[in-house]
This record gives sequence, C-alpha cells and structure tokens, in this order.
Amino acid sequence: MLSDCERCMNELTTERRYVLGCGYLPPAPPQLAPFVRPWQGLGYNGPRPTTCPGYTTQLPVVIELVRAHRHWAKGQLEAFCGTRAVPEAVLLGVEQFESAVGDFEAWRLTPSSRGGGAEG
Amino acid sequence: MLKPPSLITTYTLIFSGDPALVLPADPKERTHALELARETGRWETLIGPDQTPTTFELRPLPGTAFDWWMGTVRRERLSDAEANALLLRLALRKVEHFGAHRVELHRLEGQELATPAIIDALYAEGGEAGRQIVAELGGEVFARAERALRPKS
Repeated sequence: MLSDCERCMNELTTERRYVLGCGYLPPAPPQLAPFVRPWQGLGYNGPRPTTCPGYTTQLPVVIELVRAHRHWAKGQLEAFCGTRAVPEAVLLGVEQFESAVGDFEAWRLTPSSRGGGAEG
Repeated sequence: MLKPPSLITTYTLIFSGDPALVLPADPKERTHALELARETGRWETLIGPDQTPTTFELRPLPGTAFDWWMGTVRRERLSDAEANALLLRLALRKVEHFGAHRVELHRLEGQELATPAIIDALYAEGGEAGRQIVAELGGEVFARAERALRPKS
C-alpha cells in the first residue's frame, strides 16, 4: 500500500490518508493535525516525518537524485547529467542521500540489543 | 509533451490562469492543487476534458546564469516586471500551444536566453494575463534557482 499511491487513494478514507500524511491532500484540518503520523522506517530516530514516504519517494526530483546517486557511485555523474558542470542542487542531493544511506547501513549493522537492525 | 520536474533537464509549467485548467474554487484547495502539480508533474489531473493548455518548457538555471541575472538586475536597476521577464527568458526553452509563436534563443554576455519576442507575444496576446504569466513563471524559476531542493520530510 505504502508504495502504491493510486491503490491507497482508492482504498483508504480521506481521514485515514490525512493521518498517514498523504502528500496528495492539503494540510490536515486542525481536528486531525495532532494525529498525523506518517510511516517511518525501523531504527529511524530523526525528526518526525510530516509526509507519507510513499509520496515523497515517488517525486520526480527524488527519483532523479536516487538515479544520480547510482551514477555518482560509479564515477559517472557527469555523464548522467550530460554536462561537466553538474548542477549544485544535484551534488547537494547526492550528498544528502549518501549520508542517509550511511545512516541506514550503520543501523543495519548494529545489533538489535543496541538499537540496530542486526541480530544480537 | 508534459515533462516532470527536474534538477538536470527541462521541465514543464502551466500558467495557473490557463483556461484549459480546471481548478478547485476554494483558494486554499486551488493553491494546493497547483503546488501538487508543480511538485509531482501530474498536470493531467487538472486539465479539463478535450482541453490543451499552453505549456512552457523551462530549464533549471545553472548557478552562473542566476548570478548573471542578479548582477544584471542590480547593475541595470531593472523593475520587477523587467527582472521577471529576463529571468523567464533565461530559463524558457520551448512554448507549445501558443499560436504560431516559438521560442528563439540568442546569446547575451555569455548567457543563452530566449529573445524578447516571446515576452512581447505574451504581453500582446495575453493582455493582463500575459503579465501575470511572466510574473508567475518568473517567480517559480526564481524559487527553483534560489532553492532547488525543497525538503519535504
């Protein structure tokens, strides 16, 4: 459901989508705002998300940055961008994504007894 | 063809007052619908049946182009309307479904920008809406150039 916005919009009530932080809806009305709790990944301990990750991860710019990151990892970012002058925003986005990937890897390798996602 | 938002290549914008768009009457819902379309590139849901809006294809501005624009605005003491028009010309690469008008590019002080003819055409054929188009699109180009990544947690 989380990765299928069309299905979510068809099957869930508007109130439920507000609670999940649906990006396709306007900001939640005051009576629902305190109950907005978008899904967040295991081990994530940053600021509380405000928007459903099903929406944010399908934004064209986010997909573009994830693709750019893959090419950056292979030293092919300039080729991906089609220019030697890689846009500053792309570099910034790749850096942020790489940082998030690092955080996830650290959590994945940390034993669950210490708050991580690995056994032990 | 509608092109999604991009940090690398050209993207499509449609003027909020385009008669082909069907927008909510409530101002808040209207604003949200437009923000959503600009963010997701899903304009199709706003276009009325059998309607064809005028589409503007724009490029993300390189930092040097934005710096040149800011410098020019200061040096030449441009009015808001002139500054918006110049910024739009820097970003604009194509207009579709706007009569026979086409975007032609030329170089000025090392920058590649649309000739003033397309702005004149917008003013001439759009009337007051033409100025609104330039202001709205110029504002969106400015926002994307100033802060290309708009975090949404």
